[in-house]
Amino acid sequence: MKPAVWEIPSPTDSRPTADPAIAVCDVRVHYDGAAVPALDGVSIEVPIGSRVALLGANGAGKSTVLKAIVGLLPLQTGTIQVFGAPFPARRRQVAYLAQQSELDWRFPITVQRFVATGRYVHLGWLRRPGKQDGELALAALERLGVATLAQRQIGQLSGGQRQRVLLARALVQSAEVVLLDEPFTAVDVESREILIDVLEELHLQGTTLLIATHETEAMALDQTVCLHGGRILSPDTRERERLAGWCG
Amino acid sequence: MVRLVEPLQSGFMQSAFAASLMIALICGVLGVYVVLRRMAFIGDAVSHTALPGLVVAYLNGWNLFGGAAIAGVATALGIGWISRRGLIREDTAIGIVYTGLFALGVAMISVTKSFRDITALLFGNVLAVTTRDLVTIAIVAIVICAVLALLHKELELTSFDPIHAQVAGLNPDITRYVLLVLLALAVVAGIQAVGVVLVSGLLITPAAAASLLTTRLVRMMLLAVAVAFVSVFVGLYTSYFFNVSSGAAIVLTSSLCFLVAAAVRATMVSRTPRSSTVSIVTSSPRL
Repeated sequence: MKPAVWEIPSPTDSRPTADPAIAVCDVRVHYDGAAVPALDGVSIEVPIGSRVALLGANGAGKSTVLKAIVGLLPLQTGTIQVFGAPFPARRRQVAYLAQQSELDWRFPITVQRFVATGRYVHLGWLRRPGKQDGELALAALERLGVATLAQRQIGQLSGGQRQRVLLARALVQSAEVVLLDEPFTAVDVESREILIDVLEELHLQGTTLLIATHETEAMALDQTVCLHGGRILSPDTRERERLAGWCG
Repeated sequence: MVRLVEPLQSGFMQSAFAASLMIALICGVLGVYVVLRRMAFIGDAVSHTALPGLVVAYLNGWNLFGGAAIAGVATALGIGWISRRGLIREDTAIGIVYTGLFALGVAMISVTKSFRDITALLFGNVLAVTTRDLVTIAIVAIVICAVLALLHKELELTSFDPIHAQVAGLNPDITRYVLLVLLALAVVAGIQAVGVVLVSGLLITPAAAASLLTTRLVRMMLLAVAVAFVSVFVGLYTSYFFNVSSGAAIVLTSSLCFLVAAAVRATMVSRTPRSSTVSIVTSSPRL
């Protein structure tokens, strides 16, 4: 029997099917105090249901692309659309898995309640999570093989377990697009295999995956986008050849 | 036994206990967020910068609580605004605002000779609490507890994962400002019991002690309130029987409670086998 988490109906939306899942058009992002822009003239189109990897060395701009898509960074120029609309209108359809280092793992919260925070985008302000949200969280934890840790404090998890819990939180959101920032970093072999299995399963269900990673061989991909110094390298540049280690 | 009941028979001690327990409640609950979000320095700053507000209110014949509350809230929001602008680091902004406004308060007192006894202001005098003070503290306690209950989900998430909160449409800046305003109100209420200098001790120490003993947020709040209650009881009895400053006795007791909690924690850690993170824990759907 499929776990309950797969039975959550997708959020209702009226997006036109012709639009890509994500359209990043000529985007420039500049961090305060930085000498050069973090992204400069970046355009990426992610088709619905595809698996796209953002590749590049540290500082290439991979994480910045993901943060810009979910509205965490202001755009100096350019536009970003999700299913043909700005991100705030598609918030419920996009799950974002930040790097592990970007949240406080010492906070006194159980793994199950942590995963249930994936439902908050549907609850909005003031509405409390209910019993069903807790059950969905547990089902997602079961799918990721960490249900036995549901009542642990999140700081007691290993790196691989933390990544599984982060993906479980994305599952309970039942998003149509999942953005993952370095999901395979500091992850043990078992966790890595489970993560890839679940991501493949999401792909088969039609979920769009955009993954910032150093590793091209981790899972099958439909498209790779190689970034260097905040710019996209075109497939025929010599620079791309020089950076073949990153770009595959 | 008769000696223990004796303080409770006098009206001023009954008022002192009522005021202190309400302040202990709000400081205990709110203090947990202050500790977990590393806002202890802000709590200290808000308490000190209430001083010029108190003096201005006194000189104009306004409600002292109102004057201190406005100064505290303005400080909290000002610090939040400066640090959000990214001009300087938050702790630096706090240090500048904190010392500057406290110095302004002291200067105003010295020039205007507005307070005959600055000691009561700096170190509190809960034994002199009036019925009007009690009503004000009760209203503050109700407001703080209601807002914390209403925004529990939002405050919890923005405390440990502000990025996810923002992506989910729950703006962490809003919860931060709400918390800063509540903090200012709690601090101003607490000044009556333990004074400007010591109120941050009542806010931070019970919560810090509780954080050593549990890994659940609500349990931590309950423990912090319990520690604050014990501090108030022991502190007020000590003050009554040994003629010690009530504010100092309350904060000293909470410091002792922290030492006990630290010892308990050390014992718990030394007895816990070094287990791996994959050991099995029975779970059930519970939120």
